[in-house]
Amino acid sequence: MKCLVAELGIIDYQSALDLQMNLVTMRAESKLPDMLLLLEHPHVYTVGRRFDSSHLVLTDEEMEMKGVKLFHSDRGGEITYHGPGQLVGYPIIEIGGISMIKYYLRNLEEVLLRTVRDFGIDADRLPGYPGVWFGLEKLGAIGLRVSRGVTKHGFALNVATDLCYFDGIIPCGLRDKGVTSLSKLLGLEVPLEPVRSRVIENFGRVFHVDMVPIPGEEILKVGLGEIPINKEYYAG
Amino acid sequence: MTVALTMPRLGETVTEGTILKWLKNEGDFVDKDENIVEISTAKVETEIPSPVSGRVAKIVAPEDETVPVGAELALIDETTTETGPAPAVGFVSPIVRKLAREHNVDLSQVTGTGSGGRITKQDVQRYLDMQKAAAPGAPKPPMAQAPPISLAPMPSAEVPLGERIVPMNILRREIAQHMVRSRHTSAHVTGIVEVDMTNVVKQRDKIKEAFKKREGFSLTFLPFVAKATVDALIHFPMVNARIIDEHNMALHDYVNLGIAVSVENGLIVPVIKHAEEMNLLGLAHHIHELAEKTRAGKLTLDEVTGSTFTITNPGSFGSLIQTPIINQPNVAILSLEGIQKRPIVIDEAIAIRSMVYMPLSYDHRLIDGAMATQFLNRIKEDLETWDFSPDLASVL
Repeated sequence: MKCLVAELGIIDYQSALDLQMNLVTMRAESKLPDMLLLLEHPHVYTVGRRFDSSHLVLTDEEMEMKGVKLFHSDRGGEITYHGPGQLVGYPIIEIGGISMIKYYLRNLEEVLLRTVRDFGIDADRLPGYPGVWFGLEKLGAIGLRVSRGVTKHGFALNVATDLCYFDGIIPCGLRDKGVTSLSKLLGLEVPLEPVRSRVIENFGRVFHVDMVPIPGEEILKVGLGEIPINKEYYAG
Repeated sequence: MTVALTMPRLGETVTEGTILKWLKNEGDFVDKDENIVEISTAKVETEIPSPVSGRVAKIVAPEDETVPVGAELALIDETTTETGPAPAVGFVSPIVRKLAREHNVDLSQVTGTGSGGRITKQDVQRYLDMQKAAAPGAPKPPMAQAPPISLAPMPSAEVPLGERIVPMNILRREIAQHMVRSRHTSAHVTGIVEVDMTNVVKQRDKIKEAFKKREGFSLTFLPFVAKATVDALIHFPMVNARIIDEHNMALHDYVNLGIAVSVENGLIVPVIKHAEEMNLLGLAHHIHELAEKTRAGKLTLDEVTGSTFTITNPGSFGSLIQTPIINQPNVAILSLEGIQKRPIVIDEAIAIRSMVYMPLSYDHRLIDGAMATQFLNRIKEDLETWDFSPDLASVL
């Protein structure tokens, strides 16, 4: 089995939502193989549908001053923050029935766990709280949606995230837990690139797929219907 | 029949879920696999497809309500379909009518599965089969599922002379259940290779005395075989796997090696966790310690669970060949038989070599004969060629 992997660079949240929606439809119709999108978002707070507004501490004016927007997303989970220095991964994968979701969730956690362990961080799962944790501080968040047996949204790993932005919210609605990043834990500015390549490698291992890179611009255009789907995506 | 739609488990440690939105109302018809409700758990949102076709009889959990995993969300009445009950009997083809007349079938009792609920020849045949099966004394149709396994002794009117009835102890009863369950679960096949152990015997003989003196116990052949097996498992992950359900298997990046240890009136399989991280000496120590603990009855639950593969060692009792039963949920088990000196043809000469048979029982659901044989041959090659001295350097 193969899984395309595309690096999209920095992409705004709304475009990523639109892109995912289209790719999920194409995946569900078997027009595309499984794929993993890797990207960064500009500063943004996003909320799932079960959002408790008391978990957003900032007022509208304060958000404008900080240059952060609030987005309503169709993923599972509570409020969170995305921004530069955070590696976001959106796997568009056909997992089949809902009974598969729990294994998929665990595999996603496994990818993140292996990745941070590759950097010497002994992170772990926290039973009852999906994601990747270092003690009681969250290093990697997970939130997803499965429609027609295909996943979207995914994970956000704090590599060199400016953690101040998390002060404006109660991340995931968990008041008694904190947030951390690889850079903070290692005491140095970790660039995104080595983390990205570890994520790709670990993703391939955990999901037992061959990761096949394709240019980010290409998948953007395919997702927006600007260019037709290349049959070669399935080859190899 | 009314079927309950329940809250699925969307994460292994997730215990509850929330109803986001009902896509169907009470009274609506829903097709099998058509989405009926959107739910959300801590991290996942998804639609749930209906398990059956029918009418939504009752919505038990309203929107925004959070309910535990397994709780009823709605009841779906399977007996009604969108087309509704056909008015009396609609159009019926002459062939069907003839079939019905021949067998005295009241067509209004037959459920139609053709287009628009039309009764087909197959429907009549199915109805007849059902009637036949339901008739007293009629042979029952073959059961789709294996019958439940009962190990309860057959009640006998009297005990024959010379036969005694004694209860089995708990261990025996558990082994009995496990063995039968394994036979019913896995598609057992056994493949056998013959291994020339002369290489291992020589290396072990050289170090036997020093090892005993230094480590305080005897170095058996089992750690050598364990080491080669772990190597083969790393190269053949499918043999080190577990079947989760009809769609999925779990592959392991580690080897938790179960070692069958015989105890009085039974068999226990303690587990060496992360055997892939151990050299020969480490394996020897773990095997020895776990066997001691097993016989002393001092194993913890953690030490008997989580195996990914098992080795059994009937050779220590002088066995020539056995076909072991897989230790669930493993997909294969290796048997180390008794080592014998046998005349073997090497090139054009006959030599006396220390030979052993190694049967592997494997689950054909996951492993084919080709892979099983390659796996066995990897173990064989390792044992016949490996130099173990680096692993034993500290002893010499």
